Formats: sequence, structure tokens, C-alpha cells
Amino acid sequence: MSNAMSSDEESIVIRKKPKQEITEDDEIINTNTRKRNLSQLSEAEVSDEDEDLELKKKKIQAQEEQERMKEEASKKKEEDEKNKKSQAQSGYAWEDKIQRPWDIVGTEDNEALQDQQLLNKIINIRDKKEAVNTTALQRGIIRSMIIIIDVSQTMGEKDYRPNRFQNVLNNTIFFIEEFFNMNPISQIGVVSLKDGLARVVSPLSGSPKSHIDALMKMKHERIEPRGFASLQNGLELARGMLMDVSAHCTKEVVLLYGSLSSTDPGNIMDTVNVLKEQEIRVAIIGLVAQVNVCEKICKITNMSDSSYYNVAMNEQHFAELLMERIKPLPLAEGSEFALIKMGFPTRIIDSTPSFCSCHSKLNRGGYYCPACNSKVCNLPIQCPSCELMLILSTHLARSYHHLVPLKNFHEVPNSEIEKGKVPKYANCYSCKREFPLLKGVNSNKLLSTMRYRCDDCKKDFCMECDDLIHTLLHNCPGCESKVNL
Amino acid sequence: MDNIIDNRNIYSLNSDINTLNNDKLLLHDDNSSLLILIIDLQNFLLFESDISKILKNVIIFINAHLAYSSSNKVCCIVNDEKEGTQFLYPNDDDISEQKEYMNEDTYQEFKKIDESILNKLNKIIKNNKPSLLTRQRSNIAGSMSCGLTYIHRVLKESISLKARMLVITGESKNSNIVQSHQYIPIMNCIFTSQKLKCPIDVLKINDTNLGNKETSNSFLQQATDATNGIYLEVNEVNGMIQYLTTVFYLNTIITSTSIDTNLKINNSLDNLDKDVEDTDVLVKTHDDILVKPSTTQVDFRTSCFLTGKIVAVGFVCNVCLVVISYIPSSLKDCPCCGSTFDVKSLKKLKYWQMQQNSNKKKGFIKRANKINQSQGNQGSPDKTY
Repeated sequence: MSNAMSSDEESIVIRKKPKQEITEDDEIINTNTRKRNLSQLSEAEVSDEDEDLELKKKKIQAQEEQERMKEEASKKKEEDEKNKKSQAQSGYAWEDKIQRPWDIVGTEDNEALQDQQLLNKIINIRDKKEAVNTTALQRGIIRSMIIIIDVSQTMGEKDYRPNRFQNVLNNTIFFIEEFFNMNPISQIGVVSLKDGLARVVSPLSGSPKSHIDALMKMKHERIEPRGFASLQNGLELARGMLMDVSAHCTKEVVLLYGSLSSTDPGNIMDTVNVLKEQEIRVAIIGLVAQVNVCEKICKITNMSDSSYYNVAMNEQHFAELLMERIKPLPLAEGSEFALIKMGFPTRIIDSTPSFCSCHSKLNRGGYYCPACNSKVCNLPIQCPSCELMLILSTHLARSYHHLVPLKNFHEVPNSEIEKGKVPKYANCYSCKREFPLLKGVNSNKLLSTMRYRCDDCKKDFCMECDDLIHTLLHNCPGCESKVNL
Repeated sequence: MDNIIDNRNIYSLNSDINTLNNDKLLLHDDNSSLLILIIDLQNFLLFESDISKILKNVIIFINAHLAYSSSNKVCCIVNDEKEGTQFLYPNDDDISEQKEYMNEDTYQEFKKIDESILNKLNKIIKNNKPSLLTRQRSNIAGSMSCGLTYIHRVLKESISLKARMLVITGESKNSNIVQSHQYIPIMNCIFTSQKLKCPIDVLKINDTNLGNKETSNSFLQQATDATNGIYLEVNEVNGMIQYLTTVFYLNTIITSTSIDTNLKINNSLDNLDKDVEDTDVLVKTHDDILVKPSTTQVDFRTSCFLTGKIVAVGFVCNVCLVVISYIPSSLKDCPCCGSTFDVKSLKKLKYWQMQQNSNKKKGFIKRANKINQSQGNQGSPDKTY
């Protein structure tokens, strides 16, 4: 009950504010009218009594000055409020006004407007996706990545739900799953920063399970964030872990950093220069605010490209930023191209169980390394005895869409429906859903055709199919069902 | 070719199945399933005599699926030679075109779906004249992609619906149909269906007259293996309904029903006196109940980009992921994407290759094999005695 009461009070306060503004505005108007009266009065009085003229003039001037002061003050207030509003638009969660669902709900006219705004929002999001470059780049497909998680005391804050640390853990677990889905022949390691030290949470390996288990353990043990974070220690440890990685892999560090400071044993720039020499690329996602050192680190290690340093505005933005790291990085100029020796084992089911060389467990099925004949139970893996990378062709196929991205579909312009080039009522080519006709409430004009066309096969798709096709499927159903070569 | 299938026969058969199912299987109505049926007409049209038989069976199968639960759904897609992917049901055609044919015994849903499928199919076949001469590309991946987007849509619209995809494909006399480009699109479909948790089943109908030795479609075989579906090859069209109902229909039922919860209930009733811990011994998946037709060997092999031979130990370009089985002495660039390789690492690999070759020439490996064999013989006397 007390909560509800307080929130009600707050809302009342918010509602009161505009009223105050109005009264101030009224005052301004009043003062203006007074001015006129005064000036008229003064003229009249000048003609009547000359002696009191100077005194009166002074009085009037004083009054006018006071009024000016008042005006200026009110203007300042207005400006301040404007500034606040503009800050609110900048998007940081803590700068937003408190929004309550019951304040947003409005009359019918408002709802219609809100529908339009919602539509615009959706379309904007799609446009952002469309802006993603789809030119085929040479990318480092075989990656080794160290994820550094900040576990310092600042991570205990609750601006991210349930708190920063738990939120980061949850997102990281999801990230690791997705990462291995998209990059099956890559490796990940996890490091934590706590009490000024850097610790290995799980060593560099290609199995998602071991990392997720380690992170789940951290989650269930309810480890409390403590002490300070040390950027230098973390990066040095990551560097050490990436030392053995062969030259054809891209070496990456993703740092999830909630602190605004770093307690380092030495000069961090020395470490950064070594990282640059060893071609280790650092991407940092800040949780709180921009930190100059972080930006510098990202710039130096990524060929002075500052787009690898991002600060999350809220939980959702943080998740988005993290997911961006799934895509393999474009190769740096002058980086090595090499052939990598790999084994393609065939699956064999034995009649008698035997031990696998990777986990020393008894099982029947498995794969035999074509070079040394040792048995492993899961792929992809580096053969424990001869260190040959063992994969299936399907793992290679997972990564193809990074190399040959599907072209973006483009929105069909409204004019095509108006001219009758496209039928008004039509279905999506691939899912047979009818395209919605979205009209402005007042103007009765089409807002958007909601159809997205593939440039090659000229087929129209709905928004959801477009999303599915580009994020998951990576096939254009229209182009794939073409018959002629 | 005008009336491929006489509707009446189908309905009478359906009513039989319906009565069969009524007493036993309608128990679980809460869990419904979506069946995506893809018929690869591109490969079928060429043996015309069989197509009507096949489609008859398929329609019975669809009706059986619909009869099982009122909330079951069907989507039927066809890929043909002219238009590519086409939806038989649901389709955009006017329903008013359909012939009025009412029978008191028929179930409305059967009539609606079957007629729209047959009408559309008749149209397609009328328009379509198979041409053996032109080179064509196989477009099964396009139909599968369409099916997956449809699944995505329907899964979003409903709760607790499970989807399943059945691809019925044949064997074509037309050797001009190009399959090889299908690898990446089918792979993409596999990954998507894994994500959507939709198994892909494949029924392949072989034409024994063609006498092809390598009959299995390795791409589709991989699809079934990766998505935990069933791959079945059939030589005879006549008994097709048997395969459909026993192998594929049963599977849809069992995956679509909550078998775990039912068993749990039964178990707990039986073991009321015993400890609750016993409930751990439960059948967990349908795999434990049904013995599926096993795919003994799935062809996962990778072939070399240069020679086309199957690769055991190969070399992969780290930019374009092309696989090469050997490194020609003159090789400097990637044969596929043209990126220039690092000289040092290339030298190392060439040296390794040299060593391997010389070992082979010396008969080193043969000797090693002999030793292995002799050891194997020494180790096996237990068995022989």
C-alpha cells in the first residue's frame, strides 16, 4: 500500500508541474500589461508634476528592472526544462522521466497517434537492420575469444535487473550458446575481475558446455561482486591465454566493464601496446558511462576504429551490443591467410564399447581421428593425442553465411500500390500471411506497404519472414525455388 | 490427367481410418501438431503412372493427421518445374471455384483441404509439360525454406503446437536436374529447423526400373540425421500408405502427445505405495518406445575442391573455408577465393605432405598396418578357441 501511495503522490507531483508553468507564464503576461500601464501612467504623470518626475522615473526603472529579473529567471527555468527534455531524448535510462503506463494511455485520438509512432518505431528498427552492410568481406572464421567479466563491487548495483552482475552473467550464457551455434570451430575462454585480481573462470576451449557450467556455478553460488577491477591484470591474463593460439585464428577479447576506474599494477598502455603487437583485438562494452582508457584501448587494438567501444544505455541495449560480437570480425589488412590442416572423421558405431580419448568415458559411438586413430566422442574437437583439428563438413557449413551474406530486401514503396503495380490485397510469398494495410487515421493514406522485396527474384515478403530469413535462415525462398539455371 | 484422383474413394477410406482411430487415439486432444508436407514434383512428374497412386496415399495420410485431433494443422507445398514453389494448401485461389460435392458422411475439414489441394494440383499438372532437355536446378531447398517460414508463422500464432516436416521425393529420369548447388541452402534449412525444433522426415520413392546404384540423397539424409527425423527409402508405391501411417504418422502422434505426463500418471497410480523416487525410471522420449528405421550410414563426407575425392585429412582455407585434399607444388593462392597464403605456413604444410608421401612410398604405413593386424590376431585367440 505504501508503495502505491508514494507512486500516486509522485504522479501528482508530475502533473502539478505544468500547472506551475502556466502560472508563471500568466505572470509574464501580467507583467507586460503592467508595463504598458506604467508607461502610460508615467507619461500622464510627467505632464502633471515635474518635481516628482525623477523620483517616479527611478521607481519605475527599479520596478522594470525587477520585472526583467523575474522574466529572465522564468526564461532560465524554461531553458532548464528544455535541456532536461533533450537529455531525456538522448536515451540514457537514468535521465528519462519516470514513465507510467497509466500516463501513456490516452484518448482515442492519442491512441491513433501512438499507433503511428509505434509503426514508425518498428520501421526504424528494420531500417537499422537493413543498414547493416551485406557486402562480402573476408572474415576471420576461426576465432578464439576471451570474455572478461567485471566482478568488482560496482557490479552489485541494481540499475540492471536483478543486478548488473547477474544480468551480465545471464547475457553471457546466452551469448556463448549463440556464439558456438554461429562459430562452431571457434574457442572461448572466460576471465573474471575481482579484488584487483584476474582469475580464469573457464580455460580456452571449444565446448560451450564447460563454459556454461562454469558460469552457472558462479550464478548459483551467488558470488558477490567485491573489490576493484583491474583492466591491466585482466588483459594480461587474456594475452597469456591467447599466447598458444596459432596464427590463423583471430584473437579477440570482449570486456564487459561496469567500473569507472581501474586499479593497475603498472602502466596499462604498455600492455595495450603489447596487445597491438600480438594482433589481439579488444572490444569493450561499458555498463555505466564512457571511460577514456577503454576507448583508447579499443582504438589502439582495432586499427584506430573506435566502433568497438560501446556503452550500454539499458538492459536491452546491452544484450544487443553483446550479440553484435557474434559476427566474425573482418580481417585486418595484411593479416595472414593460411591453409589449416583439418581432419574429417567418419562416425562409427562399435559393437563393443570403448573409452574415448577426450573424456575417458565408455561409449559405443564415436569418431576416429584419421591421422592417429584415437577415438573422440564429440566434434568439433582438437584431437587429444595428435592435436589435429577434427570437424564435420556441417560445421564448416555453419559459417558460410558469414562469408556470403544474403542481400537485404527493400521495402516496396507506397506508390506501387497507388499506381496499381502491386495488388492491394496480397499474401507473403513464403508464409502466406496477408499483408496488413496500415492507414493513417486522419489522412487515410497508406503508411507503409509492409512488404519487402528481394531484388533478385522480385518476390514480396512480410516483415516477420524478412526478419527470419535474414537472421536465421539465410536463404531467400524465392531465389531458391527458381527453376532455371 | 484431368482427374487424377477420384474423391469418393478417398473419403470412404478416410471414414474407415476415422472409425479406427476413434476409440483409442482421440484421448489426447490438447497437444496439436502442424504437418508440413513437401512433395517434390520436380522428380515425380516423370513417372506419371505412379503419381496418382502416390497422391492418393498422401491425401489419406493428410486426412489421418487431421482426423487425429481437431486442432491439427496441415500445410502442403509442391515444387514443380515451372513455377517453383507453390502452396497447395493454404492457397490464394478462390474457394467458389470448387465443385459442389456434398456427402453427409464427409468431415468438413477433409473436404475443404483435400479439394483445395487436388484442384490446385490438377491445375499445376495441366500447365506443366515435363521437359527433359533443359538443364534445371533442383529447388527443393526453396520449398523447405517456405515451409520453415510457414512453421515460424504458425508457431508464433499458437501455443504448444509442435511442427514436423515431411519431404516426399522421388527419383528423376531427368539427369539434367542439378543438385550440387543445393548443399548450402539445405544446410541453412537444417540449422533453421534445429532452431525451430522441427524434425525433418524424408520418404524417398525409388524407381526400380532406373536401376541406379547410388540412390540415397545425401543432403536430405543429413537433414534427417541432424534434426532427429526419419529417412526412409521405398521401392514400391503400392503399399505406400503402410509406410506413411506406420513410420511417419505414428511418429507425429507420439511426438505430439504428452507421453511423459501420461506415463507419469500411470506410474504414480501403480506405485502409490512405493517411494516416489521410482518415477525416475520413465520413458523420456519417443525414441525409447518406437524403434525408428535406423539410418545406418549417413554420408557426412567432404569432397576435395580440386579433385572431387573424399577427404579424410584435408586443408581448409581460413578465409573461404574451401577444402583441399592436397597442396599442389605451385600453389600460392587459394583456388577458390584467391587470397594469397602465408609462405612460411605453406612451406611447413608442403613439407609435411612430402613426408607423408615418402612414408607411403617406403611402405611405412603398410608395415604399420601389418603390425597392427598381427597384434589384432594375437589379441583375438579367445574368440577362436
